[in-house]
Amino acid sequence: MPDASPFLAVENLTKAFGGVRAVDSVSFTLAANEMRCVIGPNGCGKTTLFNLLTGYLPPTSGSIHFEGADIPGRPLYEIARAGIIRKFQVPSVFPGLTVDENLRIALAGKANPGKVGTGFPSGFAKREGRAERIHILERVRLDRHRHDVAGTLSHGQKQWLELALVLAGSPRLMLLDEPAAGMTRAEKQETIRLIRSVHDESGISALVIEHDMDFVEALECEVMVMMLGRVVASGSYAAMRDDPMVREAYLGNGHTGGGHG
Amino acid sequence: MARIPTATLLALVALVLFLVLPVVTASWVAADFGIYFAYAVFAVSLGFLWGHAGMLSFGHAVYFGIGAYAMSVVTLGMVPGLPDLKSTWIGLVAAVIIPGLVAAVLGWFLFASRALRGAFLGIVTLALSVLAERLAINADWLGGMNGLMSVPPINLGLNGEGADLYDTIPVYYVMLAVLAVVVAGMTWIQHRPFGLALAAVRENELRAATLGHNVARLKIGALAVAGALAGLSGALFVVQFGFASPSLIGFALSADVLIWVALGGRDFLVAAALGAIVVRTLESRLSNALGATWPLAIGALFMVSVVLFPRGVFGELITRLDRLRHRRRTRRA
Ligand SMILES: Nc1ncnc2c1ncn2[C@@H]1O[C@H](COP(=O)(O)OP(=O)(O)OP(=O)(O)O)[C@@H](O)[C@H]1O
Ligand SMILES: [Mg+2]
Repeated sequence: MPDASPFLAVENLTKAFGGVRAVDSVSFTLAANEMRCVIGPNGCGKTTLFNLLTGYLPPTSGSIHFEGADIPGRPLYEIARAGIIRKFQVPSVFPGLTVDENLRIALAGKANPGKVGTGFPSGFAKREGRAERIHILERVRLDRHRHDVAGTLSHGQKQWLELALVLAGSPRLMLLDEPAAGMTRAEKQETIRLIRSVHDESGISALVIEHDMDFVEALECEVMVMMLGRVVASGSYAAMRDDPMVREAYLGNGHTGGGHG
Repeated sequence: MARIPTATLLALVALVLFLVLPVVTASWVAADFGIYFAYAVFAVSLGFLWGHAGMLSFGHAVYFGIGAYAMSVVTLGMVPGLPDLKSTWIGLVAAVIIPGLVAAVLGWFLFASRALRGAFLGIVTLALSVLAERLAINADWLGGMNGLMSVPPINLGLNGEGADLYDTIPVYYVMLAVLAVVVAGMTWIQHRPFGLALAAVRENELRAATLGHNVARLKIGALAVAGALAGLSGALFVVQFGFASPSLIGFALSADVLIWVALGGRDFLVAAALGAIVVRTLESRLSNALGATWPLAIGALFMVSVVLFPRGVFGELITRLDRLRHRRRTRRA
């Protein structure tokens, strides 16, 4: 294996559902410390791409290498422990448990490098400390809701709890699927600030799926455009905004940004 | 501000009531309750597996029965090659470890290589309990159909040569103490990382996996813990009852414990325990009065309560009290 294997390397990745190629021969690399937005019309395969990267679905063909190691075929928990942690498009926190318990669960399951086949009971990371939980909750402004049952939170708060779970999971690569969907304008601003600061402070790599073009612009990162399962363009936000194909994809769809999936 | 959970308050109230019960009633009542406490430990085991980890078992008596037989075989001096071994303590260890291992091996077969979920676990455990009962009936060395009789009571000596714990009142308090420790200990486990991870598996197992939890291993661990605890309850039962029979291992008792836990409330371990105690108490009082129609009565009671209190009688009580306490707190604030 060459020493300079990219942080994340996706090659010819394809996922077919029956006749539909939801992800179609996608190839790209992501450098360590890089953040990139993934945009594209509804149903173009963005979430499916995340499902493949996290081992949720097996690819039909193609390869994924994360820090040189093969991803497909490994169990979900191993991929998570390798450091690929995901925020789901539809918030899927543990609704019957408190915010604090949600966080303890994420902390207990997090990446545990250097231990093979860890788990019950010695493999639980010791670092599920109270101070760390409070710190994470302060970042997502949920510290006053620490003892609330997660199912009772508002939609925006659930989105933030999802982000908190990602942070608690000690990610090396964050996959954020529409982190600001359904949020108010003010909440969106807050979310952008949070994602930027996490990225800037700890250099965690990130792929961020987002529909809202203002959001993408504000994140100030490279953009990768998908259409019908394929990556059709990538580059800076400005270049993508002015790309005729991208404009057509969005405008042709009646999609002018600001919507949600 | 931390406050005592309502379930803990209920457990403390129940503990106080049970502490004074032998003082105010006849001794045969205490003798019955000693056995009910063993059943309550059994119910806590299923409550943990079903209510907390979300794994429904239709054959939970298998572990109870193995525990009862293990204790009997050891204290009757029937361990092959070790005729002098009669220790209650070794019996207790065997009654915990053997069913725990059986449960772990079962879990390993079910979960290690595939994601067996939902009804499958129920069906497999149901089949297992039917199979285990037949095995016990056909095992001549375990007394076959007749089972093992004259199982000694708890003996305080290292190898059965000490004093027997035979008197009703001491046995009653020993069983109550074990039950209290089991409820407290299992509640503590529920809040440890292992217990929390199991709650996560119950709520959303794929989500737990994507946060780095090895779901298969957690499930195997839950089965092992529940199996060991059920085995303990079987041993506690048999040292009081003095008789181990194939019915302890089979489907009927498996169904009984499901009813106790469902009636009491599977969301709280103390509710499951009280469910066992209350149903057993009703059964002994009403079965005299109702005779053969008792099973019909318990069946009807079960259906009515499931409709009225889907979270169980004590589960509902805890939830309502909790809401009340919460409201009073917020009004004060
Ligand atoms: N599990 C599945 N089984 C069958 N088809 C699927 C499955 N998951 C996704 N698809 C299909 O694959 C295509 C891509 O879906 P995907 O969810 O990846 O799109 P998306 O880009 O995330 O869309 P959105 O912006 O609406 O979230 C769609 O046509 C969808 O119907
Ligand atoms: Mg999507």
